[in-house]
Amino acid sequence: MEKKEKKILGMTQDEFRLFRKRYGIAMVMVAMIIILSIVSPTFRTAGNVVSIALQVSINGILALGVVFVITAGGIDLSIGSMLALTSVIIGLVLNATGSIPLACIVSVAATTFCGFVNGALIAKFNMFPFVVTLSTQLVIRGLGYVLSGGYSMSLANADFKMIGAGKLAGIPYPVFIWLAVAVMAYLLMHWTKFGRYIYAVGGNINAAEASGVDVFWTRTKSFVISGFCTGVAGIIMTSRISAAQPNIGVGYETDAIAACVIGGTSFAGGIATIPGTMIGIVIIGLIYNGMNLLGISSYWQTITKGLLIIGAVMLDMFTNKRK
Amino acid sequence: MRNRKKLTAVLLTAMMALSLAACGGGKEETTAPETKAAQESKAEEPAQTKAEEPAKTEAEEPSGAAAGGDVNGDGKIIVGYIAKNTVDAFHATLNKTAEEKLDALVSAGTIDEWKMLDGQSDPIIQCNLLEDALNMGCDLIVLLPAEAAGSAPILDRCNEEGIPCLVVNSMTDNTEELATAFVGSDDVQAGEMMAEFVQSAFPEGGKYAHVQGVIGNSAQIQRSEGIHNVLDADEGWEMMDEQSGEWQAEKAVRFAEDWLGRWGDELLAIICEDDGSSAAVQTTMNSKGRTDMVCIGVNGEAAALDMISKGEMQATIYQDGAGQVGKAVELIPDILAGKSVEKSYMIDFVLITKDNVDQYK
Repeated sequence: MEKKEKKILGMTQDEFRLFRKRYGIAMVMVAMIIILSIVSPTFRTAGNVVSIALQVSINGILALGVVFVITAGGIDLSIGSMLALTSVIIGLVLNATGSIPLACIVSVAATTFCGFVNGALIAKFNMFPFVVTLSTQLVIRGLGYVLSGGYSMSLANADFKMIGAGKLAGIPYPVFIWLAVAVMAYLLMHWTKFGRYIYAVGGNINAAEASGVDVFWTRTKSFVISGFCTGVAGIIMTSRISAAQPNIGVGYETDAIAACVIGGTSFAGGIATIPGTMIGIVIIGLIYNGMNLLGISSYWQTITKGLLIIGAVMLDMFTNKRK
Repeated sequence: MRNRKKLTAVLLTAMMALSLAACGGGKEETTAPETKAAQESKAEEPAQTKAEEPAKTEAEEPSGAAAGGDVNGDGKIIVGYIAKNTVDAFHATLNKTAEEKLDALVSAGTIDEWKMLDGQSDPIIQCNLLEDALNMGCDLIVLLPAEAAGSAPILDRCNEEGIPCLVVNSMTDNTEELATAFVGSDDVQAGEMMAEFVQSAFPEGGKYAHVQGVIGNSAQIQRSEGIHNVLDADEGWEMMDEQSGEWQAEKAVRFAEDWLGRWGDELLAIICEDDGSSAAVQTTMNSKGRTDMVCIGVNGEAAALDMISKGEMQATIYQDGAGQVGKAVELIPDILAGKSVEKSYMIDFVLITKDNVDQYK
């Protein structure tokens, strides 16, 4: 709960309202942790806590990227395909050059560029983000298949596996990467002018434009951030399965968007916090992990996740109405 | 403006909730299970490398191993069953058999518990589930891989932890070196059986066409290989066309209709690589008055079996998923007792016609 304390510092009235809303979902998280600790002895083991952190790291990084898009009033449905593209590019570059840094840089540059294209199309021509990213989802997925010829590639450089499998003090590297991305996202969203622009554009695009915000770049950058984060998540994913596959990541956008929404991000734009998103990410991880430990069928995992989103959005709508 | 935004928000939410509820089923194709053929030669040689592994475990955990396979020494023997998925018909049957057999092992006292973990056809989810399984204290893993390459790290991890891993139905890239044993079927055999059935239905030979599965999938490669092994060697048969229907029935039907248009009555058979496709193609051909056409596929799905028992289709090749997983579970007591098992077990495909369809429905 140290996130709560961070946020109290210098809170305006609006932010306090936000905090109260987030507090509700944080309570849900705490309740889940308490209940799971009681009913499952395995849940409270250190090993399991590390597992949960590892399990949520990929979705966590995706959510931290897409939260910028949603806050700026957009949506990014293409991230699942970008994961696959990352994976394929890593496979091609790594097998051609053997250089891990080069493979990572090229793949992240590619997804960041995809994000730029998404953003530029949406912001320049004022197209619906839903439609644009739905199309690019198909294009990027297809690109992955074209580049790979449809085949999965095993990775020539075995060290690449260490990004996903390596550990420092018993904690897997992906967890550190996730937390580092979270700190960067926090600073960007809550401590920079760009962060305030994101809120402004998402809250009321016309007002933002009238007050001199560069709407085009703000919207475009939000997609660029999402693309960048997806590239980073894609590196971890590829490393964990130690193979480059064009068919991975299908449907991953749902969990990332779900984490944002559960964490109090408004689909109408303009409302979100990074700590809230982190809570959303953890809650989704708890659903998966807890239900697996309790032996509850995965059918119920999807239902629970769906209901939680509806619940979170209803909370969002009520709070907005009161305002 | 604000209202419209809210409306959009509600719509998007509803869509997401729907897609979540559907995502279990939506992205699944009834992928014909992947198996690799190269195993048969290996099947004969006893598992020499693996035989050392129980011994190593014994050295590390003297009391645990003596108690019979309790690798992590928590006083309980727990089996983790990592399913490929729980939604496609083939895997649902497989999981049900596993449930019965593993429950029986629990009642018999061979194991204390078993955990069902749903991989949702995603290798990353499977990797995550393995970590859950290890945390739950599993001493043996049964894995039905989602992907040949992507699910391979699971075997690496099991090996690291000294936990035996049984691979069922399809192989990971490292199954030969790391799995305690593999139980599956040889898809080349399935291809050959389809081709032989077509030969026997039309002894004079003729023209046939071939609907492939997803290109590059090991089941596709090997089933195609089997078909070509038999029919390429038979001068009476001529292959007119070969296209990938990607395991999707409607795509198979589209090709079949085009082929019928081009070659008409000269076309005697359409060989598919899954019987979801062959059943759909047969239905289309029947509706065009070509009930004589042989449309044959692999798997033994309910729709195909139903058509065979009604006499609307002649045959299909049944992949005995229940037999595969049953065999794997039978190996568990031996593995736990530290006895050596063979590296690979192949379960035969079965030709299903009107004569024996009732046994498989």
